[in-house]
Amino acid sequence: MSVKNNNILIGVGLRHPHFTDVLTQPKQVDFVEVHSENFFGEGGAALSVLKQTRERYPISLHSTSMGLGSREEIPQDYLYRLKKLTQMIDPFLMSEHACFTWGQQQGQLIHSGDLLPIEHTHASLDRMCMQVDRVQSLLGRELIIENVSAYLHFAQSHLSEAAFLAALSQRTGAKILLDINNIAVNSLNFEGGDIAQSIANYIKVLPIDSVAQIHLAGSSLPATGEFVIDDHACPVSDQVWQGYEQAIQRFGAVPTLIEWDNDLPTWSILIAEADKARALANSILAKGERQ
Amino acid sequence: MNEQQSLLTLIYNDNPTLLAESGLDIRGITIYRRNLLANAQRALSITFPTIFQLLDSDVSEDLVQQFLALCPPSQGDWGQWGEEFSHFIATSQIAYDYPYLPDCAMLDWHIHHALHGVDQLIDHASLQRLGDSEPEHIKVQLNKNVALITSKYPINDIFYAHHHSEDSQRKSAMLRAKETLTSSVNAEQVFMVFRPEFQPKVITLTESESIFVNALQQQKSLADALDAVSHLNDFSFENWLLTAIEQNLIYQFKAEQL
Repeated sequence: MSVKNNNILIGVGLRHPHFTDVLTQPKQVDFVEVHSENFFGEGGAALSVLKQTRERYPISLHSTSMGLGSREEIPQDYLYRLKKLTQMIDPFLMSEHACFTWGQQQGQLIHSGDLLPIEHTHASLDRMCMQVDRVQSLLGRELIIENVSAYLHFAQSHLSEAAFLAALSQRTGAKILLDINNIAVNSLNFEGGDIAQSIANYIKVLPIDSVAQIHLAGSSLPATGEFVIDDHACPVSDQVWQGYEQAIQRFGAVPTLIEWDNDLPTWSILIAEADKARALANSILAKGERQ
Repeated sequence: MNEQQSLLTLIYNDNPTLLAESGLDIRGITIYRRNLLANAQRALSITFPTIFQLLDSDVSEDLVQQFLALCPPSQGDWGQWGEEFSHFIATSQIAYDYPYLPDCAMLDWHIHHALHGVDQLIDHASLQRLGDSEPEHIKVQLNKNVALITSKYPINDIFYAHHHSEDSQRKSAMLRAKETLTSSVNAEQVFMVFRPEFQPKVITLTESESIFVNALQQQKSLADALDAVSHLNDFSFENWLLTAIEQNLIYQFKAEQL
């Protein structure tokens, strides 16, 4: 399914408590995004809801476990399930993260259960390009790769994450999913917290046509001295909205998603966040200014 | 050990030597450990809702931590994780205090599987096999969401005491469960999980029903399954068939030359 991109497309993350809303409320967003792995079952009510939702909305499949940056190969069973879901849903966007998830423990393959950071080196870039090529070839689709919130860094990294993703995109044809909150979280935890500057530094490295989706989310404020956790548990912060303005100025009408995963609000509050994104993007796009 | 292996090992294990060698920040590792535990706890509480309602949160957190160490996830889908949880509980201290927990976990696991199992409805055309083939040539393929569990505890009542949609039914189930658990004689019973539409259900089978369904599950012919219950007077295939169709227990009748 293709979606015309004349106007900005605004979507929301669809989670279980909103299943009834998405099927019964008037259509107020352009697309919804779901976590692929939540629909890896062979059948049942959740998959049925997804199929019904697909009749009303374009769907973005966002995977969280593939671990494209893993040194281990992504297991066939995982890819088989993802391919099956992809063929069933025919998503208009398909994304994953620039992270690793697979490893070995006592000779057994294990999954990290989280998005773990990768080294940003030429060697890890080579590895991830191979994984992305393999998955894109298997699925017959272009992937969109997201920058992550990281809570530690590897001393061996000699590329910035932005440069890493730009090179990955250039070499594989995959696009970039720009998560502005993740840049903000990393800025607060590791870069002194000048979020506007961190975002400006990040996006100027990314080629204008490389960004195919934007994620907006909120993070709870931590106790003093503790790291900010990317918990998607509150509204988008003012600083992230300001970063979004910068991103739209640079990349134009890129499909944008409001992510809210914990302490879920009502559907109407979620839609209000989406409306806010649309109004902000349209005001920037109306000025017609690109950086 | 490469950097990914080191990080994963440090998240799953406390290893001060490796931590020092890796040069990784313990604050970051602590966050990943917390995230892993929280994700694991959330996943198991979805797959095993009865267990997590029965246990206090500090006990369940401890159990999750131990289970993670013993059986780390390996599939990238938290929904597929937990097959060994029932056995794990059976071998843990908590089973001494609450011996019915492992069987409750087994029931939760089968219900979870049925919930996400393939959508199967009876192949009505195949019913014709009953008219045009001999029972010894007929095999009954049960719906993939049908599972049998044997337990001497009232696991269906414990399940409904926590999950029935109606309050009065929850209370009744709780009373029955308590009554059975306190009685001195607990005979083994066979419970059947099945999925009429989207919501799985669990019922207790009579002895004849359980023998008959078990024979069908083992792919015995209809004649052999009927023979297995011929000594019991309470079994009627016609009645069973009507109920089985209503409950969506059967996928297909197949005629085979044996």
